[in-house]
Amino acid sequence: MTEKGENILKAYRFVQGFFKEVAQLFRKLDDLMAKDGWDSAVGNLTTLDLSKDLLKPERWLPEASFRLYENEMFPQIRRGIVVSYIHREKIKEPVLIMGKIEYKKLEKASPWDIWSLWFDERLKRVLNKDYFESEPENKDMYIEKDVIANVALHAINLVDVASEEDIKNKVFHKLGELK
Amino acid sequence: MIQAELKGKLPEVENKEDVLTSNVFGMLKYLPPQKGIFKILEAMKDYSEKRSSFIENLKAQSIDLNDYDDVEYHFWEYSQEYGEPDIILIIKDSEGHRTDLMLCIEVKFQSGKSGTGEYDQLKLYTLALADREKRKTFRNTGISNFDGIFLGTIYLTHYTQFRSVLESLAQIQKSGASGFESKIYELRWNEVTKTLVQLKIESEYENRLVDDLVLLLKTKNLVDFEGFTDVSVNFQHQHLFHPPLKIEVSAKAIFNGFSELGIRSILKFDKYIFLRREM
Repeated sequence: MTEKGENILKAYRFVQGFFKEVAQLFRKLDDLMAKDGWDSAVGNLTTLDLSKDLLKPERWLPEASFRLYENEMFPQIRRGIVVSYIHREKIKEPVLIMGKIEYKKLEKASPWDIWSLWFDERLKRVLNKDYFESEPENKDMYIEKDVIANVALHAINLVDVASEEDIKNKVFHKLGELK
Repeated sequence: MIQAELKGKLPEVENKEDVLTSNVFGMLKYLPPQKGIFKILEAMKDYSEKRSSFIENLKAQSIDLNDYDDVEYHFWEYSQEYGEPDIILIIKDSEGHRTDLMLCIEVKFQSGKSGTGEYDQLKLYTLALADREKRKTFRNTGISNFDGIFLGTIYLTHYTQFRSVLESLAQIQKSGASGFESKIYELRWNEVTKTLVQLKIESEYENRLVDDLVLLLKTKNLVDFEGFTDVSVNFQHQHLFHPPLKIEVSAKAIFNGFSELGIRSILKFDKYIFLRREM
């Protein structure tokens, strides 16, 4: 047994444990949203686009995970969160992005839309601030034109969510407030 | 079985809900009900508009679980017409002064509800066990001859099944039955874990049993969210977190061994992990 090898194992275990904690957060949010009429729009799915490719080992781990919710009363609207663990040099620590998107073309929606809108290269966004953007004024902002009508976004540092009460107060309530 | 699973000897069954059911309730069976299963039942809520607790519903029926001291566990008992609920509990007062009580438990781990529409399993089990004539379709005589009060069906799940249960209730209503909102109970695995952690048991041997159960449930991540673990606390090697600040950014062109975590080059994003601490 070597210290070097043990440290690699510890790092790996830590990351596994961290993902388990993210799953606990998601599960609690799923509960709160369901009781408000919002069910998962993506089943148990939390990420996409992982690499199994020998040439893309940095993507063997997810760079972000998401939960996306739908409500039959508001068929064109999705609410959701994305936890972004790493994104080049754009974030200094993992962030939790909340979003409400009103779609024009729901069939073109992607679970990554909240992520894409937050990390839009043309915009400098900061945490703890509400963003509201509507299609008529900012039509060119969107990756696919005419897909999205309105967007509301807000993001916080992931570790600022430190208890189930925080999930309720800082995430669930904020998601509900996004107009 | 539980020891084999705790030691990782059974990877092929670690996500099987029947194994989880057997390990957890098979062990709970050996705890006095007042110390184990009754405490777990206290965490349940029904699906009425008021979301009443199990205890509130018992009180409304003038039932006090403190009057009961024995629980029979019936695992996977079969009815030709209505299927096979995971567990049926028959709660008794060993002195025979009180009316026997029955609860059905349907357990889920990583799967969702079986059956849709008229074949919805929650609907089938609940209606079968609530009706004396339908109970007779069960092979087990303890169930078929049961003459007490059916309290309802517990849906024990890992993830939220709110909508799924509302669909079951709609199916029950469609069949002409009513009032079942207060007979289907929501119970989550993380609540079971929390209850077991909080149990106050004096017997050393009973404590060992509970400790094993808690360990099993924690291993499966069936716990509440309590915040994120601090990476600097998680690692024993504190020197890892006081390294030189220079970040190695250049990707190695040739493999010459694995990077040393101690010099912070294993993770490209290490500077971000340590940022809060360094500040």
